[in-house]
Amino acid sequence: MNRQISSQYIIDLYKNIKYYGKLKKFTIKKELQNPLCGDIVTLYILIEKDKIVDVSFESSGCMISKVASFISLDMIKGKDLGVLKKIKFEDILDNMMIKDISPSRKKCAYLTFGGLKSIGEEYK
Amino acid sequence: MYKKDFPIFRNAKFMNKSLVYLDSASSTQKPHTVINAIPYLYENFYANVHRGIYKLSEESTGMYEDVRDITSKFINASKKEIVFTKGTTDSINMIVYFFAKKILKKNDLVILSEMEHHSNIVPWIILQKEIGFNIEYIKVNEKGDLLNLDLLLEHNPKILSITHVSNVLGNINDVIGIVKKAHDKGAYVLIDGAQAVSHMRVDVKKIDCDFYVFSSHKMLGPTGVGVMYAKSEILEKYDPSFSGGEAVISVSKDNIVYKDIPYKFEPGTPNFIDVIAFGYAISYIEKIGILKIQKYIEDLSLYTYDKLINIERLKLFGDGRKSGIFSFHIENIHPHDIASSLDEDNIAIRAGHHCAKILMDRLNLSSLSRCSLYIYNDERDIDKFISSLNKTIDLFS
Repeated sequence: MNRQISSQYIIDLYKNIKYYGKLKKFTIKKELQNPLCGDIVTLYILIEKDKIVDVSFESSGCMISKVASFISLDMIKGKDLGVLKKIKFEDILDNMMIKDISPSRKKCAYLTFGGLKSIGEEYK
Repeated sequence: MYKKDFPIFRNAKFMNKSLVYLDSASSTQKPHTVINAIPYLYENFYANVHRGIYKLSEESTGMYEDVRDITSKFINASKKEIVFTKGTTDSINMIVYFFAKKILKKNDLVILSEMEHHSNIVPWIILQKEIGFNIEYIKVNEKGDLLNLDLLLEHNPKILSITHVSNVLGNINDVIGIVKKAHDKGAYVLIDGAQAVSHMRVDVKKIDCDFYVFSSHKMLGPTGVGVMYAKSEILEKYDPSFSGGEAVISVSKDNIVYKDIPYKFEPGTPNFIDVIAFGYAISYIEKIGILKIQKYIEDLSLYTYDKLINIERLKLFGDGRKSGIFSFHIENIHPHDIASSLDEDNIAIRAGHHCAKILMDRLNLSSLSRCSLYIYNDERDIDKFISSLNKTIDLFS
């Protein structure tokens, strides 16, 4: 695992971000704010018959925040709503290869994950 | 030159890289004299101040009062005008409640500026909700100029509260001119000196402000200590907004007789060990000489400025050429990523909204990167910072 944010892996993910922008059709729009830096992330999710059909996000956040949005959304797209309960924060960090990143930067990565968890609660 | 006096630079190495600390506007590092003073005082002189009639208490009281003396001379106040607090935020809150709350009425006007730190905004908004007065903000541009002060003063404000040096833009406000204009309109003036006192000779008599506040931890001293300077006639006229033991001469069920100033504003056991250590910090600054420090920071600031303006995608905000505070934005790289990337080279800068959301909104930004200098920095630090910054830009492009 890599503590460094300048690893080629994360930079490559950043340069190839997916799901960026606003969905034309969505069932959920959730705005999230990181109180530490004031960055805002907006998630868009399209649900059809309890299935997450499409996902996207807009963000004023940093690289860690944007890559975490991309990776988190990638982990739920095409799955049943139940996936929102199952996803773990450690798995997101793992997929980004930044498991040992500093606590303050973990908050950047946590923003989208926290938002997905609260959507999971709201859609019980 | 002064780095050797600060133990952190020997100790805080990361992957064999020495610490380059460029976040002094947030808090300064401490010289060994200040650090060593704390255990020394606890081990040799500890007893509560202003209470005991035994030697130890008299000694600690003497040292505590000596710091009041040192502090008053440092800003050219009289000793009774110095009230020790927990910090700048605490000082401003005290003024808002013991003074502003007593004089402000519904429809009165308080003037702040858009470059204020949250500590000089939030207490006013809380009181505004209680009383219903108006708050107007002096507009600020990207260069850090104050745009409409004269216009706002035409509305006869009761109070003007403004920073001496902006913690984000680095601009040094002409506080002497501002106070003069505000006084001409009959307003009281509070100056937030948190970023100023460690960098320049502050003379409260010359500034003629009614209040001047600052923190120990931004001027080489311990955390948890601050100063509220207020003109003696104001301190004498108003009662404190909170009180308790040691601030009173007598208490009966229907009457309180307060002590003389400044003691009526210091109830309870003060943080006297840290205040005494703060005295060591002022002595350290005085030993070098504040004018020499000012010149040192100005020279290093110019060196930094010349390097920063040559970075193509970097945009500077404000003017830090005299204060050593440089806030910047680099196209397409988030400030957090810049700070994290520099951190890998053990270079500490600040990234975020700097507790100045109103200014960030004015600049249409959610965050900025900031490097801020103090006497332990040198040209080698700046070279490392610039090289790491260029490396970061390459990495992200």
